[in-house]
This record gives sequence, structure tokens and C-alpha cells, in this order.
Amino acid sequence: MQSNLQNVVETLNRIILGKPGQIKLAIVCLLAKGHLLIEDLPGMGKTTLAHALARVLGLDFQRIQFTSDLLPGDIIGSAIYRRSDETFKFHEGPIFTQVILADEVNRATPKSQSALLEAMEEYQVTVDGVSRKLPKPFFVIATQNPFHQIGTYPLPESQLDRFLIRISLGYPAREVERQLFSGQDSRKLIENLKPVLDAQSLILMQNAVDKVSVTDTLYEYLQDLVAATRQSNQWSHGLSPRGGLALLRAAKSWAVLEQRDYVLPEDIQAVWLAVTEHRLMSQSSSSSSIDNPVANILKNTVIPR
Amino acid sequence: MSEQISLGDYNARKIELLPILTAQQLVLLPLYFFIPIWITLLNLIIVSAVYLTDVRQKFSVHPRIKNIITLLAVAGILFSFHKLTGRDAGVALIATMYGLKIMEIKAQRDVYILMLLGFFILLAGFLFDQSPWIAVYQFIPVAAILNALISIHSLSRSAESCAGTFKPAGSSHSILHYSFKATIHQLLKYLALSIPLMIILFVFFPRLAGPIWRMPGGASATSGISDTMSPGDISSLQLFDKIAFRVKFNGDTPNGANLYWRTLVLDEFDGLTWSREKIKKEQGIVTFVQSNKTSGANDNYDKASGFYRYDISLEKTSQRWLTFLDRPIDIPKRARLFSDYSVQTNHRLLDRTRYKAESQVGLRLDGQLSLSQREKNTQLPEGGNPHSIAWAKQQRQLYPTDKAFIEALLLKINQQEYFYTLSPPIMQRDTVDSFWFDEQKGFCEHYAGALVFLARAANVPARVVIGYQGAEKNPLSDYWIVRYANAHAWTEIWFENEGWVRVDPTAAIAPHRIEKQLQQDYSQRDSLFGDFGFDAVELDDIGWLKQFEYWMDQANTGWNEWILDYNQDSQRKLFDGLGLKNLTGQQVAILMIGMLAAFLTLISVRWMRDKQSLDPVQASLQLLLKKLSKHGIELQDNQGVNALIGDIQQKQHHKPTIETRSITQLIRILKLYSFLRYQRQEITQKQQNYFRQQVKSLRIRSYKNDRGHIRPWLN
Repeated sequence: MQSNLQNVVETLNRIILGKPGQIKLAIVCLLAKGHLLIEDLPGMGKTTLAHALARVLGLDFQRIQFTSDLLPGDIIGSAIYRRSDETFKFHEGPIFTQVILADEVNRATPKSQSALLEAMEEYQVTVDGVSRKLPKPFFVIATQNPFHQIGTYPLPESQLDRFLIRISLGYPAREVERQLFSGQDSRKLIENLKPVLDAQSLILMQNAVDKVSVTDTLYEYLQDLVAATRQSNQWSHGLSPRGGLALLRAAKSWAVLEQRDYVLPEDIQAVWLAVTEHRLMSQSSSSSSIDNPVANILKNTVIPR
Repeated sequence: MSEQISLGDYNARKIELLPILTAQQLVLLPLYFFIPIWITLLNLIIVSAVYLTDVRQKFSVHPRIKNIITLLAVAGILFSFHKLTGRDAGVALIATMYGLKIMEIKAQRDVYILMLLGFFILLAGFLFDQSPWIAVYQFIPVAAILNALISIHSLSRSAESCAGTFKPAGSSHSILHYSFKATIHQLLKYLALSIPLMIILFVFFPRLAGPIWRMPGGASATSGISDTMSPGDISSLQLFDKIAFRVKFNGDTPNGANLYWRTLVLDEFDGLTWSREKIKKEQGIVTFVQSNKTSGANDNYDKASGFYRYDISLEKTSQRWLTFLDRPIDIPKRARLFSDYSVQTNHRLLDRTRYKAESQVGLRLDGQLSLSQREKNTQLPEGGNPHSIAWAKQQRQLYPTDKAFIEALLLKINQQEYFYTLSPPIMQRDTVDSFWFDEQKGFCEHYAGALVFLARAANVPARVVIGYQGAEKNPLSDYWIVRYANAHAWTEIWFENEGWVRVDPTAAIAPHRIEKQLQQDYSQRDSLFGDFGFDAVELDDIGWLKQFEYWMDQANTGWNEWILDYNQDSQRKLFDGLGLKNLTGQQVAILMIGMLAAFLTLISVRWMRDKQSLDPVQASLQLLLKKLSKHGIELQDNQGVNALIGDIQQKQHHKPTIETRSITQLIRILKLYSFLRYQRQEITQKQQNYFRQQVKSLRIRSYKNDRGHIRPWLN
């Protein structure tokens, strides 16, 4: 089972070059049954990542381009009157899939955004009083433009909280980009990709995350970290309990990815930034990347031994 | 930081019986030699039964049966001793009760009671035997008790066997072995902690001048020489190798011919037995000593004759006589010197007694003899030994002086067929006649008795002196040993102008042999009569057995001197030596309490500090980190151990500072740590021990260029 996961990671690394950390975090997010937020500019390979991920895992894939005139119905689907039998028939929207790429989620109106986010949280959609279950596994990859352009609706913190992990891909390194140029078209690569996993085994792995053990010492470490965010005056609010749970879950998934059935402090540290950074609203709007207060917390918190 | 094992599990775990039973039996073992055999058997049966019950879990002893056994045992002791008090019955009762107590072990507190009682019952062994060997033995049961206490406190050792997923690299055998070593280590730690306490309590506990109570038993039996002398008394003593006393000379040691140890003077003879005159004049010791010490010009004081200062440690005699090198000039204050230069104490010597004394070998006694003294020392019983009396009177006529007469007698012993034997023929009714004329065989008593008799018959004042002759130096130490085998009888003859002169007729048998002894530093009584079947011990060829004997005796002496005889007096002396003069008992007590408090505070401070990192795995990690920091590897506070491994590997790859093999070992240990620390199962004792052993055995060697040539690109 675990060798399959390694296989997944390796395959993805062959397609998305030079981003092993992000790939791992994406898989961790998937294992933890969370949703992934990619904050990046267009053309960085978000779609490729999402597509490749779905393909390798043998999952269905849909993409929704969010725009300002996108309506909830365009995401969820709507009931359409059928003249032949004079009934309304529900047509499933693009959300009824296993992996969904919500591109530029901040360009849509809050109304449409919340339709997506509700589905993410509930794993079901309700149309005309009928609840419809979403397929399993259900994994949302949303992308967001980091710059607040005119006509965008940045996701509020309360909504950001629903994404387990936020990553950004960033520009590739020079050599990597050279490979990119000289290599095959990634689209073609993805088309030729054979699934390494299937949905069923992915669910099994997701369940394995629940069985990962955490010692009291580590709970203590986790609490120390969470408490540090709450005590700091860098942010208006510290991490919520949901944030803490997310951290724990992500750390457990990381442990599974590292082929362990117990969590190490390093697992928590590995997922710390990706899990917490988007949940903490900086009071000073200018956050320099050099002195990242979230990273500082990691640096200043002693691991209980 | 939390224990992996819940408190409930900890309290509910099974009590391990084997260490407890072992400790209990080891405590009882010395007592088994002194109590009736049926108690020993009963105890062993009970222990086996309890152990089997525990192992098989098949049957249990009904409480009523326990009560019946107990009552029967008490009845048995009553039947054996007819009482329940006193040393023998009391110890038997205690041993029985302690043996039966094992049936009551149910909870942890029962174990505590049993084990703590054990510490006290250990003392019962000393009621029978106070030798150092039993004290050495007592360390074994003490260690066993500690082991039992440790075993009920540590995590269940049975958990080790189900260590489950954990399979360390080493074989399970080596781990078991290590666990034993760890237990020993722990035991030694606790013993080592208790030793300073023991020393403080022993040295500083306020002492009484004498024992409050006396060891019972054997008080009536006297040993050593007695105050009468009948033929056979001393020869029977001479068969004993038991030690009579030990002497330590301060300064010069006398030569072998002067090693006469005066104990008693016998001046009354009833025809068979020589005895001491009942009423003796006491010599004023103060005037006596002073007159001797200040009389440098006095002709009593002979400059040529040696003065000897010495300490004597006299074994228990149950008599009142003290022994001195012939002749004493300074005696202990509490003793009385009599005019015949025998010394008596006010009480019977029921313990080993140590005293200082000074002797002057050539001291002149009684330059003038009063009429009554003269009469007393020439007195003979009415009738008996007519032949001897007539012969002596006639012989005396042949010589001009008393001295010449005595010398002639000695010459007769020397020249004629007089034998020294420990098995003389049975003498006739007139013992002196029979010995002197017919048998001519005997031992020191016969010779001394006969010489005095003959002298007295010729109206020469004479008396018998008994004591010891010779001594044996312990070559391993600086003291001399005098045994019962050295018991001896000789005579003192009074000559005009010379006073009492020591004359040893036994020595006259073979005077050249005593001369031979003079040439040796070391003299032993037995060798006085080398031709008569006594083996002299040559210093050069002391066998290992003899050497061991000397060594044992030295240990025994030290034990007696420093442990058993440690009383108020020696305590004072010790404190004086430490510069603490004139301490009252109260001050000593305060000193002791202060030292105890200081020691305990020190220990508990350390303990408290250790407690913060009580987790053994944690402690081992700290040890590991200490080792690592010597090589510039530091684990940051915010760094996980696995991250450290990454760092180390990276550093090793780019700029190695540590030998590759050490690195491999180190990484394995670090991985083991994070496994132990963060894995699901609770950590077993075995795993803890294994981890500690691994950390301890890690030797980090600095990197050396493997290929032997410089690799400049590394710098």
C-alpha cells in the first residue's frame, strides 16, 4: 500500500518537475480528506498538477473556471424541465466528480463561492430539498490569484479555514525550467499516464490515517504551537480548534506518506506552514517572506522530549 | 511528558514472588544454624508451598489452616525451650513468625512489611555470632531485600517477554544479560547511597561507656589459665590454638628469651595443687610507678634492661587477672597491682579487654624479704615427698650459696635424662618425688613445681609463676599473637641482693635451643622445645594457609578493634583525632543529626533534579546529546531527532568530521529513539535498557581520511 503511495509521488514528480514538496503536500491533503488551495499566478502548472493527480490516482476530474457571472447552479447543477415527461430532471453540475479544480475561485461572487465551500464541507449538495451525495473520494483543488485585482472577491478567513492546506507552486528553478522546455508536453504525458491507484485503495489509505498514533508528548507540542499563535500579537486571532485538528490530521497523513504509523515532531513541522499560514490573518498587511512570523513560531517552540 | 503505562495498570500488576522469597530465605539463613532444625524445615516447606501456589495457582491455603500452623509452631517452640523469651527461644520465635509471614503476602504493603522486617531480623544473627564474616554475609540478604523492593517498584518485568513488535538488533539473550547487569547496577547504587548513612550513624551516634546488656551464653565458662595449678592444667591448655591475647609494641620489641607474660604467682602448695594465697597485700600503684620512674639513680633501676611499652588486647577470660610482660611497671588505672606483681581488675573480664602497659624486663623485685614473706615462700605441706625434702637439704649443703644450689639443680635437669613431654606417666602419691627421681618426664608444671618444691625444702624462697611464654608475630601486621598454646609455668627464686629472679627450669632442658630462638626476631613458644616434636614456624616458609590464617586474624582484630569495641572511649579518641575535643554527648548527637540532614538533603536534591527527567529513555537521550555535543553536533530545541539525522547525513556528505561507522551507529540509535518515543506501544523495561545500553556503548570516533591521503576539496 505504501509503496503505491511512493509510486504516486514518483510519477507526479516526473510530470510536475522540481516541486516535490508541493506534490507531497498535495497528496497529504488528499490523504487527510482535506481540500487544497493553490495560491498562484496563472500558468504555473496548477491545472497540470490537479489533472495529473486525478489521473495517477485513477479519479474522475472536472474543472470549473470561476468567473464573476458564475452562478451556484453552474457548479452544483440544476433541475431542468423535460417536456417529454413533464418533470424536472436534475442535471448534475461539474461538482459531481472526484477531483475538481476550481480555478480562480476568488473571481466568483461570494454566493457561488459559498456553494462550492458548502459542498466541500458537507460532501453533499442540496437542490430543491433533495440532498445528493457527492462521490467518494471528493477532493477540491482551488486556485486563487494572490493579488487582489479589481473585480475579485478574496475568500474571507472563515472560508479559507475550510482548505486543509495551502500551497503555492512558484516559478520553477532555472534547470527545471530548461527541462520543461526541452521535455515533452505535459498534457500528452498526462494522457499517457496509467493510474497507479484507484479510488478504493485511496479510501483505504485515508482510513489508515485515522490509525496513526500520536503520543501525549506530541499532543503537547501541537498545543504549544497552537497556543503560540494565540498568544502572539502578529495576528488578530490565533488558530481555531479546527485549525489544530487540521494540523494534526495533516501531520498524520504526512506520517503515512513517510511510511510510518506514528507521528514525529518532524511531521508536524513539515505541514505547519502549509496548514496554518492561510488561517492566520496578519495584522500588518505587509508580510515579508524573510521574517515569516508563522515560521518563527516553529523556530521558537521547543519540542517536548 | 507522561508515563506510557497507566497508574491503574501499574497498581494492578502482579507481585513477583521469587525475589521476595529469596530475600526472606537469605535473611533467615544464618539463623537456621542456631535454631531447632524443625523450624528450618517448617520454613522451607512453607516457602515451597507459597511458591508452588503462586506458580500453579491451583490451590490456596485456607486462613484457618494458617492460624493452626502458627499456633502449632508457637507450641513447638514452647515445647523445645519451655519459654518464649530469652535469646534462643526468642530468636526461634521470630524466625518462625518471619517464616510464616510469607503466607500473608497479598498486596504490596505486605511485601513492604516483610522486607522492612527483614532488615531488623538480620540483627538477630549478631546475637549468636559477632564475627566479621557474618557481617560480610549480611550484605547478601540486604542486597536481596533491595532487589525485592526494586522489583515491586519497577514496571512489570513480565512485560518484557511480550515486547511485541520491537525486535532490536541484538539477540534477546544479550538483553536479558544486560537486564541482570542493570539490576546489579541499581542495587550497588542503593547500597552505595546507604553506606555514608551507615558510617555517619555508626561513628557519630552517641556511645555509652560500656555495653547496656551483655551477650547471653557462656558467661560462666572461664578460659585461659586459672589461679591454681595442678599437673595437666597447662598442658591441656597447650593443646589449644585459640588466641589468648594480642600485643602491639610501641617502640622496641623484646627478644624471644624475654617474652615471658606474667599473669599469676602461685605460692601455696598442698601437695598436689599450687594455688594463690587468698589474701594479698596490694601494692600502692601510684607510689610504685613514681618510685620506678624517678629512681634513675636507684639500683633498682637497671639501665641495661629494656623498657617496653605495649598495648594488649586480652580475649575474654571470665577471670580478673590481667597479663603483662614480665615485669610490669605501669598498669591501667582501674587495675590493682599486688605485691607479687600480679594484677587484678575489679570485675571479671567478660569482654575482650584492651589496655596499655609498660614493662621493664630487668626490674628488681623485693631486694629485701620480710620474715613473713620469707616464711610464706618457703612453706611446704606437712608430710609428703620426704625423699625430695631430704635430698634438697643434703644438696644445699654442697653449695656455698642459694644461687649455686639452684644452678646445680638446673644443671641436673640439663645434664641428666629429663624429658619434656605432654603425656607424662602417672605420678605416684608423692608427685615431686616421683617426678624428680623416678620418671624424670613432664612438662613445665612439673618442672616449675618440682624446682620450687626443692628450693623451699632447702629453705630458699621460691614461687611458681604462670602465664605465657613466647609470641608469634603476624607478619602482615605489626602485632603479636599469643595463644593458649603459649601457656607456661616457670619459677621465681629469691636470692640475697638480687630479689626475685626468674628461673625457667623447662628452658634448662635445652638451653641452647632457647639461645637459638634469641637469634630470631620472631619466637614462638612451641619452638622452645624443638626436639620434642613441636614444629617451629619459620618466617620464610609460611604456607598460604598460614598466611590466610594471619590475614583472617588481622581482619578479625580490626573488626574487634574498630567495630565491636567502638565505645565512648574510642569515639572520643576518634573525635580528638579529628580535632573535635571535649564534645558532650549532646553535641555529638547534634553533629550526627546535622550530618545526616546534610547528606539526605544532598541526596534528595539530586533525586528531585533527576525526577524531572525521570523517563529513562529521556535520560539516555540526554547522555547521547552530551556525547554528540563534544563532536559539535547539537540538537536544537525546535529540531526533531529525525531532522537531526538529516543534518548529520548532510554534513557527513559534505564535510565529514566523524567516522562513517560511528555515524551509522549513531543514526541507528537516533532512529531507535524516535521509534521508542513516538510509536504506539508502551515502552518496555527491556527496550529502555536496550536503548541505554546502545547509547552507552556508542563511541564516536573522529573522521580520519579513509584512504590515507589528503582530500583538499573537502576543506
